[in-house]
Order: sequence, then structure tokens, then C-alpha cells
Amino acid sequence: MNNLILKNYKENKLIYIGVFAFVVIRICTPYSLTEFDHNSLIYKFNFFIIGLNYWFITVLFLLIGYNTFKKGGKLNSLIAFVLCLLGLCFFIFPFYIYYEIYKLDQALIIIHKKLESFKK
Amino acid sequence: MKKIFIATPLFFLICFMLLSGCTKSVDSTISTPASVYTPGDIAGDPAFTGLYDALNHFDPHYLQLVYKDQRTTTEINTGAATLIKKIQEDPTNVRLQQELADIYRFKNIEELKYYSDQIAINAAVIKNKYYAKDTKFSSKQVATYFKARSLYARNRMDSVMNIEKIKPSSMYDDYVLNPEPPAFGFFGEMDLEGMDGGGECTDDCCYQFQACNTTARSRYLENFYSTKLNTVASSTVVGGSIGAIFSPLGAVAGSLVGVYFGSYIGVSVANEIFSLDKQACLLLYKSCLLKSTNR
Repeated sequence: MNNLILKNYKENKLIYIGVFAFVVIRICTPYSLTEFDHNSLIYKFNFFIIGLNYWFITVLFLLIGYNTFKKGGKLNSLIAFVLCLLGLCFFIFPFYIYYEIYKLDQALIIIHKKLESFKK
Repeated sequence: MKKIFIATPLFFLICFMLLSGCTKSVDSTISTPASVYTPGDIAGDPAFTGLYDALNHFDPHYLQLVYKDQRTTTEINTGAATLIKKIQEDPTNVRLQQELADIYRFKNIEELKYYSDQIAINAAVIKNKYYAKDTKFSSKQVATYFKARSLYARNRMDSVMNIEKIKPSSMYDDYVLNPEPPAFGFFGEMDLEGMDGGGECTDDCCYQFQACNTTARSRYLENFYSTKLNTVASSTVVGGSIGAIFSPLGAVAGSLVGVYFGSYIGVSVANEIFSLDKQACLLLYKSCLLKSTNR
């Protein structure tokens, strides 16, 4: 079993290094986004760091997909394609969330303006 | 809740009658003994309702309920009593009057005077209408008065319970008349239809509710983004790593299982937080409506 794990480690060294890097970055990331003002630098920094984590998952999916693709065969190629698509989703996800939060912020500004004008 | 209407101290009634000077003219043509009136008659009298509607604003329980005031009843009463004593000694002192207005959370001195005037006027109307000829009240008269006050409290409770019927905005219909949340769906909850213009509101409570909901949506996205990442990433990585020991296909299967479970757990946590936020918004909205209805 030990030999099997060692052999697997040598074959998938990049994945293990990726996992290690992911864990380190995740530990270093401040936990909550909701405590900070959306325009503050620390909020944007947190968002970016969490985004990096998502992009690590993208890299992991691509690596696993690539390893699967290398094995050859139609089924493995199909699985590799699906994995790459999933990886792409994880890549786009932070941009999508940021855009949605931006839209909500704009809506909130409009609501506050209307509230102020209503009170006047 | 009933304490709000029952615990109002008579002390403030007398003090505010003094404060407002009792200069308003009062219709004193009607003077019938109270014994001929039923508690229902007195409770339904606009003067009686007006008196207690105004008195509520000086009730510590009202402040605690409507404004989430953290001060104790004793603190509010003692602070107000001290100020009233000072005002009686120096009636033109604006600073003291403003402090008194602040204690009861009135917007300004004018509002404080308005409500104290309401107390004085309505109390005088009731006195002349029901107790004009009486210098000493019988036990039956006192009982009738207290029953009328209980009836007022009950009517007020009913109006609060049926508050839905008097605020016909579409936002109100959606969230208060039908408070059962629809089946949760990410894209449904994130739909911005009606939010970008905010044009359906007809009162400031509705706008505050919209703002609260928008903030809740934003918090949901942030939680969704960070919480889901934690669980998806860790499950994917663990699943993939365990699977990779056996074969590349095992790594794929492990990762997919990890994504599935991670998503489920992460999204559940974010949804739960979002539901709590929405409930909080709803409670604030109801509190705001209650406050505006009482004013």
C-alpha cells in the first residue's frame, strides 16, 4: 500500500503540490466577506484571494482532466472534456458573483436615493 | 403587548397636561353621568382613542417594543420625571425640552408638544363628556373606565393583527400577506426584477424593506461565494486525492462526488443564513409599519 501511494504521488506530483498550495492560501484568507464595505480595499483583496482559490480548483480539474486524457480512448477523452468544462465554470464563477454583487449595490444606491427623496 | 396600553402611568398624564398649559377650548355642553355609558361607548369614543394613542408614545414598553429601546422602564421613567421637574422650574428652556423629546424618541420638540397637547385636549373632552358633574368617582365609574381601557387595548391589538389590511402595496402583499417563502431557487432569489427601479413602493417602510432585502441578497451571494468554496474545494480535493490513489478514473469520480456533497452543504448553509436575514427584514418591516400606524 505504501509503495502504491508513493508511486501515485510521483505520478501526480503537481496535483499534490496544488492541494498543498490551496490549503495554505485558504488558511491565510480572512474568513468573512460580509463584514466589510464593498468599496473597501480589504473587501476587494478578500474577494480576489477567494477567487484565487476557485482558480486553483480550475487548475486541479484541468490537471486531472489532462491525466485522464493522456490515458487515451473515447470515454477518457469525454470525461476529460467534462472535467475541463467544470474547471471553466470554477474559473468564471468569481467574475459572475462579483458582477451580481455590483448590480445589487447599484440597486441599493437607487433605493436609498428614492428613500431619501421620499422622506424629504 | 397589553402592558403597553395598561402600564402607562397617570403621572405623565398630569405632567403633560401641565406642560401643554391646558389652553385649548373644550366642548362642555355634554355632561351625562358615566353610569349611563357602557365601556364600549367610551372605548369607541375618538377622544378616548386619541388620548391613549398619544399616551402610548410616553410608555416605556412602547419604546422598548417599537424602537428596540435597550433602556429599562425605570431608567426611562426616572429620566423623564427628573426632566419634567426641571422643565416645570424652567419652562422656556429649549435644551431640556429637546432632552425630553429625545428620551421618548420624538423627532423634535414640536412632535412632543403635539402629543402632549393631544393628551390634554382629549383628557379634557373625556372629563367633560363623561365625568363633568362628578367630583368623586364611584366604584362603578372606575370599573367602567378600566373596562373601556381594556377594550381599547383589545381593539388596538386587533388592528395590529389586521395591519395587513391597511397597507396595500405590492411589496406588502408579497411578503407580509403571504409570508410563506416560495421554494428556494438561486436564480429566483437573485432575480432583480422590480428591484432596479424600486418604483412600486408608496411609503418609506417599503423602501427600507427593499433596501434590507437587497442587502440580504448581497450577503447571500457573499456567503454563497465563500462558504460554498470551503466545502466544494475541500470535498473535491479530498475526494480527488483519495480517488487518485487507485486510478485516474477514481480521481475523477472522487472529485465529482466531492463537488456534489460540497455544493449541497455549502449552499444549504448559505440558504439558511439568507432565510434568517429575510425573516429579520420582515420583522423590521412590520415594526416600521406598526410605528407609522401609531403615529
